[in-house]
Amino acid sequence: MRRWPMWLRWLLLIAAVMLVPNLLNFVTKRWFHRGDPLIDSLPLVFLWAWERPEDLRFLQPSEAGIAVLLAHIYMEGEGAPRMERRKQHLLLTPQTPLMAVVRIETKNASGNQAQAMQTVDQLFKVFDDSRLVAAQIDYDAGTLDRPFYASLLQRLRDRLPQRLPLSVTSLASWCDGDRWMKALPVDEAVPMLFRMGPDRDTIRRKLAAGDEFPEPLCQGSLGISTDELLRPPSKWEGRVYLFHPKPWTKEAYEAALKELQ
Amino acid sequence: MTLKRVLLCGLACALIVLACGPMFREAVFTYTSYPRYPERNFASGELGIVYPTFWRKFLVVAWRNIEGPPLTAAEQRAFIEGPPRNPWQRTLWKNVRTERELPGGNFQSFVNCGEDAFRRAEEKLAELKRQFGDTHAGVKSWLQAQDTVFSNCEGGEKIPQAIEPGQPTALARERQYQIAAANFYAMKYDIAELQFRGLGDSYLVARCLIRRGTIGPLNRQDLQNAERELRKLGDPPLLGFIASKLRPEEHRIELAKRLNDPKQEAAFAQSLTDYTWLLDRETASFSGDEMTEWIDAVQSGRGEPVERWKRTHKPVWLLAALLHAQPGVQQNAELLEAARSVPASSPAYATARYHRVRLLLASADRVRARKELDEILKQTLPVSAVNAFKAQRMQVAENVAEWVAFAPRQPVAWYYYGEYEAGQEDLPAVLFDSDAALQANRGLPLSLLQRAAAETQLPAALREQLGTVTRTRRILLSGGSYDEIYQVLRTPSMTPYVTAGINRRDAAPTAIDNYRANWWCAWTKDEKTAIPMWLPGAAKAEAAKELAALQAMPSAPTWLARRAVQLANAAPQDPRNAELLHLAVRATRYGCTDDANSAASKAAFQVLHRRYPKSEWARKTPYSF
Repeated sequence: MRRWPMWLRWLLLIAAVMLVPNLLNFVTKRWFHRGDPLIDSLPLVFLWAWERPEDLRFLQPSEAGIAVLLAHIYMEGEGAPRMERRKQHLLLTPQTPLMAVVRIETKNASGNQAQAMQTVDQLFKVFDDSRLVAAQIDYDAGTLDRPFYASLLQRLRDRLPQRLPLSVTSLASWCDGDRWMKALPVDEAVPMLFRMGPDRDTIRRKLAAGDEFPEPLCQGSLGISTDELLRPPSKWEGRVYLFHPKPWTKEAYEAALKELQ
Repeated sequence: MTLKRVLLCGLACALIVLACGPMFREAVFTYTSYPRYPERNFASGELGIVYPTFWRKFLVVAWRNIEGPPLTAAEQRAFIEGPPRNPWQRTLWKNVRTERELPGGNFQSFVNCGEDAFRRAEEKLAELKRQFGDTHAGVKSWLQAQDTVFSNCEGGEKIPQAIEPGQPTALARERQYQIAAANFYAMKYDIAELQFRGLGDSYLVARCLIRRGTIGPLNRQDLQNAERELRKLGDPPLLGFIASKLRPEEHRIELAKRLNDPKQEAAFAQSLTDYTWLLDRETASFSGDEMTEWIDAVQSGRGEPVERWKRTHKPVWLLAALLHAQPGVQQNAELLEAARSVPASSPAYATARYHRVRLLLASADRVRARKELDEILKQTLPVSAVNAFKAQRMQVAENVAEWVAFAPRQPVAWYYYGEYEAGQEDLPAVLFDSDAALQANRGLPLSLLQRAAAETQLPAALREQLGTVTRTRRILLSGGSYDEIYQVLRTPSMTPYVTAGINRRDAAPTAIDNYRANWWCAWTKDEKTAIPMWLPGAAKAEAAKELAALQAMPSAPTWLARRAVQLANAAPQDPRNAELLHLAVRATRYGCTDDANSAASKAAFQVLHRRYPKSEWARKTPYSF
């Protein structure tokens, strides 16, 4: 049998070393996260309840869920992350599906390992709550913050119970042509289709034409604001997260639903 | 060897990391949320143009500077710096969390242990150590008890044990404080109140009452009792807090009075914070004092500002009336006349003149507007105001040279995540704002844009931009020769549009931009023309015709790919054909796409692979998009 040249054997070895982690990551993500039916069992409409007094008792548990902002985590420089819990009340009908949202804000943060571990500890304190059906992180990570964010999500995923799907909000451009989210251990990435940047027109046009976002994580949900309402593509069957710039009212909710239909 | 290359290429591709950031700083030309001239200039009376969208604290400062008396030096400092902040940081109890969730399952937390509590505890410890020594058993016991007190900050109901017999009286009293404090942080306010009463501490009794009265639904009785306790101590700041809860309107009027009294300058920053906080409440009434009524009039036009101005002849009310004056109303004549008489030295000058010109323009009095704007632009004004006046002046330009003189603007700040950024070092010296870009893209014919690009008074960077725009637009309108299409395909930055602010961030003109600012999008069909008034009739017709032609065209990648196929078919011997088709397919990948993009991409791809299957360019083009 003919021996393979030395360069080819070295090349195959390097390729194997590089591919094995990717393959494992792909398999675990497919089998244990993305393919997880838990995320699919969540309601198709979630109302974001931001940091303001919210009375959402008009919402029937069977019609929509609430994604409630429960905390902010602030990080600056090398300093330890500082968490501020929700200060405003949230009134809701018992049994309403509840997703906890934590917003992370960084300013010139180095995003070191210690900060990642401390942030995960704080996130876990919020998400470790039997009332929750899912957890969501809202973090507009800059290019340089991405390794930190990826590492943080991996640590968090490792600690969270499997029963809790993990969702992240995503800038629309992350879902459209940018591939950095590919390996994130999350169940969904919600493209935020409001307050968009220069890609706004392109993304709106694509959606109007019925195109999906290329990033698979972004194909199951959309984030929309009532003051910048954008209809999902026709035949849309995914989840919609609704943001309202003021406290929600029954009228605002019904008007948004009507517009979406 | 081929296998080697394929594998090496595969590995290299696997290592490629797409560097791409989604957040952009936008250039700002006019401050409409809050002015940064910087703030100290605004505070000292250089108001520029006051907008109804200014934050209220800036409107307070505008009021003071126009109505008088102007802010004192101390008030100006207080306005810029805000309420004094304590730079203190914990050295002990560093990891104690300060927030506690309210019972009731409403996901509501509150700050249970303020930073001041930790500071006081550290000071007390230092005091005890000085008094009794570091190693004194009573001091160690105090520290342990304090750990217990602070353990209730986040949750729990732990109470320190009674002090060991035989300890000094001072330490015994301290322990009683610690026990009461532990009850306070454990939300047992009734017990804590009694214990603090026992210690004769009115301030802490009041703190218990305030906490009990404000955690959850407001309990007025508790707050009234707290007020009584605090009055025993004189006029501590907490009285203001209670007043804001019990009598918000009355307290807001009181704060407005303080904000207009230079003798109260020491409290200016805190009064301003409290005042705007009270106005931010949904139930705020905006009545009862003139400054608040003026702020409401500026923001909403309510409160009959015209009548108020006629009655008082105050410049503040003139501004409020002018801000909301609609064109074509009879009373405008009086307003316009009054606005003209505001002297250049007045803080109200820029705002009054801006709205006077706005109304003149609306009534088509272009000659007077032009003359006045030329006078105004001779004054020394903040750059933000200069930009606003230049925008008005551009509207009444008489020829292309004037358009070129007033279209460029000096950006004043970067806008990033809802804020004007402080660091301005990397701001370009001059850019086009959106009004100029709109006219260039939907109103000026190519011939005039070419003239504008040749005007030497236009800054070099903008001349270069206009040069690219006119070159590209001419290619687009003429169909483009082989050489021209080849050049456009090699230069992703080429565009027929004038950009408002910044377009491509970092990429070189011939490099693919990671943010997809490559090869332009189609003209939107639903927007109207923006033809400048000064354009002669023939030029207007030319502009309208060109716009219609441009609006009928697809996005650049689709158009370029179609043209590339046509040109390759028309010149089958041209040695650049394979590269041209490759570049066309590349444009359909990285450029602004539309519905026809895929078909055009596929057509170019097929011609490339059918005619030049063995070429280097076919190998470099494995897919269509």
